[in-house]
Amino acid sequence: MSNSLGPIKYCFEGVLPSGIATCSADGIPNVTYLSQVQLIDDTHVGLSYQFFNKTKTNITENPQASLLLIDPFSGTQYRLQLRYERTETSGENFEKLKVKLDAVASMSGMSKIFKLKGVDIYLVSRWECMEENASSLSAPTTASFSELNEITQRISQCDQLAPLLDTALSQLEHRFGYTHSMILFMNPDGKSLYTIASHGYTQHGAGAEVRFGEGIIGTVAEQRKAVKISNMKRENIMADAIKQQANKISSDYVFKQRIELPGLKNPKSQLAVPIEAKNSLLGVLFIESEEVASFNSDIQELISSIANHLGTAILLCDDETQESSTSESSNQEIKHSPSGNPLKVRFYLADKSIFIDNDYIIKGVAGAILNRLLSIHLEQGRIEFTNRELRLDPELSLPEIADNLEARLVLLQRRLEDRCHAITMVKTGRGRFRLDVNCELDLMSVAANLP
Amino acid sequence: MSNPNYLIDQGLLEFLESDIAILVATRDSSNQPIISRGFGIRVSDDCTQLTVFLTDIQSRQLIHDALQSDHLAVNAANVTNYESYQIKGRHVQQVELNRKDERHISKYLRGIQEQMMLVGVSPEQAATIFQSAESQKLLALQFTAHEVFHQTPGPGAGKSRPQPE
Repeated sequence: MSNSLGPIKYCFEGVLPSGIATCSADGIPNVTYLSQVQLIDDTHVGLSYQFFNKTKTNITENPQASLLLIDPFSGTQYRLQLRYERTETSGENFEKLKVKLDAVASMSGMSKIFKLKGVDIYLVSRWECMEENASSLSAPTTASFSELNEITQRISQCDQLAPLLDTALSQLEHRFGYTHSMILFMNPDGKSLYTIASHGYTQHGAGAEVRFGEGIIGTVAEQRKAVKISNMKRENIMADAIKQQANKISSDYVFKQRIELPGLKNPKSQLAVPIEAKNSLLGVLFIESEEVASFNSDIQELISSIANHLGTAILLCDDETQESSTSESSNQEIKHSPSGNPLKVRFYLADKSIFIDNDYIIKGVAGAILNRLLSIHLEQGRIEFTNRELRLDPELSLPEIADNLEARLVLLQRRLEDRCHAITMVKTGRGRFRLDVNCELDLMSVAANLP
Repeated sequence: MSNPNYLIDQGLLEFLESDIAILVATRDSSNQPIISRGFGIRVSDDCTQLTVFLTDIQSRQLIHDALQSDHLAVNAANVTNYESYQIKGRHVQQVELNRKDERHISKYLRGIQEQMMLVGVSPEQAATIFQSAESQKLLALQFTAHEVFHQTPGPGAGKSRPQPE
């Protein structure tokens, strides 16, 4: 028997439910399942306290408890003998568990009742393996720091935003085997995010928005803390069970529709980490997997390091003072030859949205930019543009300091790739791009009434 | 005190004998609780007695403590929707397994592993969780159901189950 939890740390990944036995002062035992068990340090565990129940009553009368854990990789079971020490209602342990529960609650539309009241901290006096011939812990494959170095080096080599984001996501697959991921940037309103890059999905999903507090991505953005869900199925079953119980007890609980996350139809595990730089949130890096427990705690730390590195690299890409003086494109001639029916482009002033042949393309700053580019193209026949001229253009009234202009242009480029093949944007250098228009345009601004 | 005849109705009987996950707990003379996994439950024909199956290797101490304290708590949970009940037991005694028990355990072990696979547990993991019941000596604790509680997670967990009409 031992009490150092290092050898059984994977039991705390939250893949399989744990059981706890307590006993009242007058000697009546109680046994139930737990929502979350967290590894606090080498000799302490934290148990979520969401509802006042018999377990809570018992440990205040008698601090002894017995916990049953299952290693998610080998299936080996362990019994831990515990002694309750305290309940934390703030601080790092509390916040770490809270952000995960908030994400699950948001995904199941239960933010009103799925609230963490506290984290009960227990000392582990000893633990034992319950199998006679236990297979040695089959630890999952973990990425090494050399892989972290490789991926950050690749990121550092990118000096433009679109290749930077694409490199980061493709490296996640190459180095870690994560085939489905996306990066979302914060909108200027500070209350929502938009998808700027994705990897492994059939659609780019560029421009798809998530509000702060919505699902795992929105919760991570709001609370600026990483969230890992090791077994989506288990969390959903637990959330549904609680929802049904709450409905039986009171009709006061009002549930919103479950918010469908973008991406995989049936993800088994997900990880979302904030992308920050200069103490500000830039966005969220989101990875999901069709395998249970794809992200252990070591991986989570590595991905968080990558996200931090990515944040700094994104800021450097936005620095247009390093705009290249000459275009890297040797092909300066206009390749396009307008033909066929004119493309009906409508710019709605109400929300600066652009529709092409009645198909929504983009809105806001990116919509205004596309309208301006097409206007200049029609008036002057130009196809080469720079970020700097857009920033100085009085028609656009963009702020003088960097406000994600490069990100807006990447988003615009990807929305055009997704929705309109007749107009394409091609980067020709740092702070420079070309607009290829391969058909006649019928561009018009509309004062009101969106279609 | 409730009449134990009314604690286990037909619906609960069927639930307890189905492919549910089972946790068993008791305590020693210093009220130190101990938890273990159960490998099937059988309910007596008159619905007054329950028998829970445990492995010697995992539950030797628990069986000792349960016989000493004469207290047992058993949690039965459907792993696909977490519908759960907790039965508090008294008059705990160790009994010999019979042929019916052995057939029930065999069927239970197949069924519960299939259920666990529905919630993301791999066949290998499920086999490891239940391997001790396949390879080790099984023991049986019989007890009288003293109280039954709803245990499905949520704000209503822990409420006493009303007696059937």
